[in-house]
Amino acid sequence: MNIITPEKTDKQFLEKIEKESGQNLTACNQCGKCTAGCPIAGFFDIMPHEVMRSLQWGLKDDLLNSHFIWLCVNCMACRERCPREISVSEVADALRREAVKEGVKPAEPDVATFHKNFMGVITMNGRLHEVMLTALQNVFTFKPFKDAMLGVGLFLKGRLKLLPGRIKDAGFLKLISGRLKKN
Amino acid sequence: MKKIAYFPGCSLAGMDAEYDEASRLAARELGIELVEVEDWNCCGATSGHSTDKELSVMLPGRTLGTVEKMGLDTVTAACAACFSRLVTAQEILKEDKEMASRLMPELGISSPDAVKVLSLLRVIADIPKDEIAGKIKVRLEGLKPACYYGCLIARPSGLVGEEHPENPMAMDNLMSLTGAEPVRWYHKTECCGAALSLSRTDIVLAMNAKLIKMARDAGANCIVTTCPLCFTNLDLRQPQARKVVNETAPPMPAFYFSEILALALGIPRKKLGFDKHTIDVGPLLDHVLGASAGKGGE
Repeated sequence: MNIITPEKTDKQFLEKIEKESGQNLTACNQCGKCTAGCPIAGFFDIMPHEVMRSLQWGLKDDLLNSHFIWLCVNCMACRERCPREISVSEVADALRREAVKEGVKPAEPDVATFHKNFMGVITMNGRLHEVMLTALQNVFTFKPFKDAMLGVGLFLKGRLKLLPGRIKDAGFLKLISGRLKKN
Repeated sequence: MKKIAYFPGCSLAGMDAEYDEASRLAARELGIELVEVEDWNCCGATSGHSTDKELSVMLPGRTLGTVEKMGLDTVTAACAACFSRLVTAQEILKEDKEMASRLMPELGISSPDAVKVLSLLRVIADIPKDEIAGKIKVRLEGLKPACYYGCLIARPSGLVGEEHPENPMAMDNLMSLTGAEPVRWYHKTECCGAALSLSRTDIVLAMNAKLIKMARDAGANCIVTTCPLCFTNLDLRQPQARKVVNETAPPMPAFYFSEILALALGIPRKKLGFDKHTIDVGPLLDHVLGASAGKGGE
């Protein structure tokens, strides 16, 4: 039988994520309720309760390189049910933002690309444009024909708007694109 | 007529125009005028909060400011994700005083909760039962919906004002008023995979195949939702999801809750975008409306 002890704990990282997520990370007592109710735990490499322990131990590299941070869809089941009132969902957001800031190569490149494209489109126009987002996603993930048949079907039903909508408030567009560049 | 600010959001202004149309029509029949938020912008879901906390507040925050400027005290979003981002922005502004002091003047927000944010389902569910029942013109007997709430109108319960986050009933009760018989099932608030739809489609297909199977096993003949992302995953991607699990049972029609409501309130079937659905809803509607017409309901 093995007892795992962390080699060194990174307290600074714990404090940083605590501040960014607004969650009391030391409150977790490993009951596992978050993992039990997580609808996509089956696709994770690190389970939600393990994420919490990894944070307490400051295992920064494991966390920032994980699939978990990109696959959590923030359904908030964990936040709803945690007896210690911690939201792993907010923690996932904070870790994801930290990975981007630190320039860590994302374990789920297609998901990271999606977020990048989404923000690119909305800071340009103020609104999302489904055709543009899908086209960018296919180009940047090198899957040019993904969902092409779905697109044809949508087009035939008149559900695709070919031209993007754009807001009039140019000042706000400048404000949000400026904020995005700061990242 | 009661006026409420209405935030359509990008999906309802794009692919999910039929949800927008049905929602406006149903609300009007129920005495609510949805006044579109002027020059509204994207709420940022879900990439906004994945990218930058401050941006995730600025995007929905501008809408909160605009609604104040319009002189309205309540804003509603039909889309669950838009609704979630609006209430979350309010929560962050309440908690993070430093960010609030910088952003609120710029966005025209006087106080974080100056404007009340409600999901469209909540707005309609708050109308007295008798009042809605009195306006039902077509009884939808034979419709057996699995009411699918998804994540973001049910959770976090404190923030969204849901008394029963594990077993919400607002949509079930509403459907019952139309004569439909909502089924008991256990995946009302189980996630559909949401925005992974474009990036990790495999995960989304697996999740939706399960949802559809559970709805069918519960005796449902359709799934009813309030969220455009759920609808896209359940309807548009259903043919792909069926292939993944080699499904042989007939496809499961999906609806927006306001489409069903609009139909029951007497809006003609042709005025609603049922032909835009990927899964053919024609035979089910023929069956339900035919039965209703036979009993003098139409």
